[in-house]
Amino acid sequence: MTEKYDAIIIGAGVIGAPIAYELSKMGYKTLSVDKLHDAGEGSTAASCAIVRAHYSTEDGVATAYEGMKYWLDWANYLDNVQDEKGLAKFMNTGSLLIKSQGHDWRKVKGHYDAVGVAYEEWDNKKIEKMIPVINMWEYWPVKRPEDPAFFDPPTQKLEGGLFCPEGGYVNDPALSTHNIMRAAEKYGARFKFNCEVADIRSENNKAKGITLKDGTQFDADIVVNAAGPHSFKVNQMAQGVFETCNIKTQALRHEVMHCPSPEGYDYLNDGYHISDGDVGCYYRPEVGNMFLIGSEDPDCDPQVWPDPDAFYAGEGGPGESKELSKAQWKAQCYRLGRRVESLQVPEQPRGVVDLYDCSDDWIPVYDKSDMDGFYMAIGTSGNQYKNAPVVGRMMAELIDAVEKGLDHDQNPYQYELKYLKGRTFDMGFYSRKREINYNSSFSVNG
Amino acid sequence: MRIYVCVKQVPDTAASIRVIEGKRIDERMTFIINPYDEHCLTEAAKIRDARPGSEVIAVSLGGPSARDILRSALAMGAERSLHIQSERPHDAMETARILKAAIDLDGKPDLIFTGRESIDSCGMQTMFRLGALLQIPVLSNAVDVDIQEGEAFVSTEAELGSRLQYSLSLPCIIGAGRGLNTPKYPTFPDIMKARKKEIRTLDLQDLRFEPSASSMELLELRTVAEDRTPRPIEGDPDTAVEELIRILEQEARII
Amino acid sequence: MMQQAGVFIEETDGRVKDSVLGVISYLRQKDVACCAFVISGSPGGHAEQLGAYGVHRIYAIEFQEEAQARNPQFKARAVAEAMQAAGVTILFGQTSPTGRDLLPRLAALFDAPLVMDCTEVDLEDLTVSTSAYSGKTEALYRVRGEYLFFGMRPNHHLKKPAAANPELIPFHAKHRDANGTAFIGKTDTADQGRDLNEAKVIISGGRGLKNGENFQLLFDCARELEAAVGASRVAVDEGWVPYTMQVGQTGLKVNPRLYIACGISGSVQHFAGMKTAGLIIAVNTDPKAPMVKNADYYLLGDLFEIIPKLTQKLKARAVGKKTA
Repeated sequence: MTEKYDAIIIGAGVIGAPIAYELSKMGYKTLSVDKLHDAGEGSTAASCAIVRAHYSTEDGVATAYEGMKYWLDWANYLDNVQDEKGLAKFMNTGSLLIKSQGHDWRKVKGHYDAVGVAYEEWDNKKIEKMIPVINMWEYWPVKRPEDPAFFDPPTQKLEGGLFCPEGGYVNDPALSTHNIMRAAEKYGARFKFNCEVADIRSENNKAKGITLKDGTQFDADIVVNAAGPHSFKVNQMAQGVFETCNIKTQALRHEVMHCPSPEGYDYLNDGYHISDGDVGCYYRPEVGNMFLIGSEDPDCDPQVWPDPDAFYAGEGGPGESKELSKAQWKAQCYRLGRRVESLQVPEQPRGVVDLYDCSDDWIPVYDKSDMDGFYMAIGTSGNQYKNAPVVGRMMAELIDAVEKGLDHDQNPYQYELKYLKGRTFDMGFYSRKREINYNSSFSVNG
Repeated sequence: MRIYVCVKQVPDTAASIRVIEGKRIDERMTFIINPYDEHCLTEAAKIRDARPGSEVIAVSLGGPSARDILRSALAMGAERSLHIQSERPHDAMETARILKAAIDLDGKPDLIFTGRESIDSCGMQTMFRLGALLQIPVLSNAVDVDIQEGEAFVSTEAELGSRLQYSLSLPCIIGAGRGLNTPKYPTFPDIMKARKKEIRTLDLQDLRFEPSASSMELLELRTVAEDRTPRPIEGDPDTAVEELIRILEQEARII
Repeated sequence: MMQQAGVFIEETDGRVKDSVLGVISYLRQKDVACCAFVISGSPGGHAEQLGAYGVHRIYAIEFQEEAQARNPQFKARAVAEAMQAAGVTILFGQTSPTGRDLLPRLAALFDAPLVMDCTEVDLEDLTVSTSAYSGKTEALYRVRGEYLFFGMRPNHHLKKPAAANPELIPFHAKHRDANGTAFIGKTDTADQGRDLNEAKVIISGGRGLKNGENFQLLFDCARELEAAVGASRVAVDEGWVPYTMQVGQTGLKVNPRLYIACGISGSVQHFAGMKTAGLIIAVNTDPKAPMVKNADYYLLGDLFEIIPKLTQKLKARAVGKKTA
């Protein structure tokens, strides 16, 4: 007999797991399926798991700030569940946004004021005092080391930065997802692993369930696509869904580097998360007193859009595989090397390569679809980890409202933030039908 | 002192190896300096800094990736470098002859460093052949080097938990082991400086050497499959541990 | 005519190493007559033990002064002289600390081919199998030369008795030139840890170890196995062990012959650091752990019971061997 559920969530990553959690709390009988062997082991595991408030829109800032409250209140959010693997930790290092031409920091500052995000203005002197290894010269525009101009001496200084005492990163993104799974199971949620979805079944444009690669079928009138970098493939399995999305998603290869901190500087314990648009990087402390160096995808850097199945199967060719490339290793480390001149850059690349589930405008799609009962929480574009608990709640409420008759396309669901009381959020912002949002930064900054 | 450091480009250990035509690897991948050679460069720079007027010269044999590696060697402190251009593979006998000819052409060495082995082919022999050709002493797997007047005091790591001390007359060749030092990697200013340093290109035809009567020729290369089929070790703890020991002995062959 | 090859004898605690007997057995199987070269203070040149494995001739090399035996340059010269006296042109040794020094010195002296880490050698068509690219590939070489040298992968071939009555030939090394190399002395170091990069065997611990003190269980077992101790990221994150011990995508990438994973769930990141290991054994309580699903062998059980038992049995075995 085919197992029957109220809702099936495809993907047990950091987006799928909170959706299952919130739906189960509402009384839905959920099944989460994932092609990997455990929760959060896909692209979630490779996330830098940065939790910061700055976004290019006020709603973005509000959602991120709301999300941060969940991370600060982690055990409570999980309903104090026990996880045999322990709980993930939010490392509240503080977060510094360097004022540069690479970020529209004036806009961000306005949003901070509007939302009520706590922050301090730091001038260059203060930054150089708090982070003794850093210099505040301006290197803009972002270049690649292959470009001789990369090595030009700087001529002027930056103008300081905005420091948020709340901000940092989660020490183990896969574990945080595992925590959410355990919390969801307390409410009856089921998780099945090593399950690769082959088909979304529907009748009369109404979702009916899923079929796995091995032929196993599960039935549910609600199916949620939270498949991360595989999201476009899952949408293609649901009849008519892919074609009727105005915003499409695609997997983008992304490299994150780990470079040892300069001798004598304890970045792990004394350092901040830093967004440095001037050199197109963000950094945060990593275990082993490393700088974790992410890229803000400057225009001069190449973009690679591999097939996610080939990528994860290790079939990607040179530059398309799960291996770090030396050119990008040099680009990201040397960029930080300008800011931190005492940084020693090893010969062998170290870090993580994985895929973003990137949307056309780097803003996610949290929406229903043109097929009844089929929903999507996709296109997270490398910038939604911090929001995941909010997304879980938002999606669950959206699904519940639509199932109860709301015409979300005509009359978008208004989500009330739980911590930032009195603030509502128009979920139409995340519509699949939207035109490309040119207010976006078109980068990991969202 | 004139210190030569032989460096080799090797595939990044994290990279997967693709074999082409059953005989060579797909070189569209990340190459790094052989990790042992990083210890050589760090040690050579240290010795150089203690003796004013000394210089460190990095030497490498190979195609364009050898040139990249030399740029890294220059950033790690070598003053200048020799790139012996060659696109074809060379066996150990030939490699040693080529290195000797290049060094002879450039100057008279007081000290030569090589890694104790390269992590790609692991022949573990180039330094000994070079030493025989130059008729100078060689010691490998060095974990401590102390240069005195005309003499090098070298400690090597033998079997676990013991070290052997030797003295070698200069010039000599030292093969660096892991324990020799902590490699000092380049900072951005080092990388800036390295951009202006010399890479002298030598053509194979310009080097004179007598070919060896011996040869080693690679006939076939194939990737090792990674598939594993898990099998249980069963029974109560005592039985299971006995079975585990049998596996260690008969299959892993480590006891 | 029966082919002949030399084997360089390494010993431990006054007995020929099992791995060397494995090489002799391998050659005997191929109908190769074995001539052993022994550098030893012990009288009799291990004739009894070597005879039991089918060695025909034993060259027992003696030096003019005892110190010469510790000088690698004298040692290589002496073996070279003995080979010439014996009329042996093919020499087998091992890819061991001794072999790594001696064999390349000999190959350099004779300007002869040398292949290290060999698994198979065909003396008819002169081809030899070895590993390349940190164990990710196997390479087949053809060697040509008047003299040939092979460093075999230790323990790849197991010993098998085959009785013979060897002729013992004392050989006095004549060479007097140390070629600028002098042996000074030997010191013992107290290191209990081994270099993970070099280790043939690694035993690693993860979340299942519960705290830093418990890693001592692994260190104790590692001593018996001549293994290095590694750790998963969790163990490092929790501050149980230093990060230099971390194996994985963001730690060390290791390539041992055997990897024993104790209480490690086995994330993709961990596998990225050790998947090339020859044999993977998982000790875990969770049958669903990916480490269990991707190992060669798995033992479902409590590591706090299994590992001390293993250590104890290995210890008893070692004692038994010495007294046997």
